[in-house]
Amino acid sequence: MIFKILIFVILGLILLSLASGVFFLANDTDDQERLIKALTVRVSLSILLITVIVVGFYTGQLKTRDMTPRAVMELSNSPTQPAH
Amino acid sequence: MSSNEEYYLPEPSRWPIIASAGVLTFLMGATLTIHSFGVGPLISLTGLALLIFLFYSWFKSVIEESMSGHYNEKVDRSFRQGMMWFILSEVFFFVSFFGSLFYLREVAMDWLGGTGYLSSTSGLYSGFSGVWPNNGPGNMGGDFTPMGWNGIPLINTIILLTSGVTITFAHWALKKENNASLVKWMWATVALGVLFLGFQAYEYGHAYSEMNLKLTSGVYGSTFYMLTGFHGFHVTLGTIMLIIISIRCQKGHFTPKKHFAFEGVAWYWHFVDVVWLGLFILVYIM
Repeated sequence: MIFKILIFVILGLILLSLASGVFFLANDTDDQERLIKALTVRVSLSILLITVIVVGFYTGQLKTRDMTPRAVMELSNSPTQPAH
Repeated sequence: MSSNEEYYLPEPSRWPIIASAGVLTFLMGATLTIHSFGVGPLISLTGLALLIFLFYSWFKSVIEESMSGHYNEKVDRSFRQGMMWFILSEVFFFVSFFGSLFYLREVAMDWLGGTGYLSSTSGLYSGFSGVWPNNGPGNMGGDFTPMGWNGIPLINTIILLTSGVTITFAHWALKKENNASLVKWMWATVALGVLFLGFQAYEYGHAYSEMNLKLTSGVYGSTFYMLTGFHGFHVTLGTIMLIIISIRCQKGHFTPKKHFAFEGVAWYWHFVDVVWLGLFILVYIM
């Protein structure tokens, strides 16, 4: 769970740095450096994010959702019929 | 901004109407091809040729205007505003697709499966179980293997992330007036973009032939191809933009004090990379 929270926090920060980049792109002039700094932060956070994901999987802390296709699941579990 | 500077207005241009004609011809040809009219591919190719000619000529005109010094501070400001609105439209484009994936997977699936406050509608779909990935009622989408996260998707994530690093190096090189380094990192970014597309094409081929995962594989297949396909389309456009900007870098068109075109494309590439991160996490992993 801690890895999932970490992933969404870092993803949020990435979106924030990218969004601040748009703001600087729209408002600054070419001789300023706020845009490139925001994008550098964005790239650094992305590297951190992928590292967290890979570490999460290889330590077994992070798992994908059960991706068994429906047809296969139906063979093993009979589907619950809803009450009407 | 000096108020007495005039805003540059170009001569009336023929390119917008040619663009419309190109798109119309291309799509008309595509429609005829889908409906098995023999002349379809030819019309489509004509439209594509028209579009390639259009982009080459229009970019040429704009670059010439830029290099002749017509684009003053006021024009620069309007370009920045235009780019911001374009970006906003792109953000909403992808938000709607991510939103549809979330709605289908986390909300509608439960209702159709018989739980939640709209569960009564499930009476319409007997034998349907609300699980993800889903191939529709009665195994309509057929048996398929869902796409895993490791393997090609992880490799592609690393490739695109590396391209984000190389374009950042190029950006800093431009700011530091190191043109040789700028050109080198730009072409490295282009190469990584092409590599990403190659791997994605391979992934699609593998999914269709080996995993039976198709656009018609129920709602999972549809959302998978819609999201990754539109992203791939954006990477293709981004790569074309990067190639043009790389050529311009080679020709020395940009200086640390004037390089809006570079920054617009650089931001777009970062955006495409972040969308992929979102896809990798939400489509492939969670």
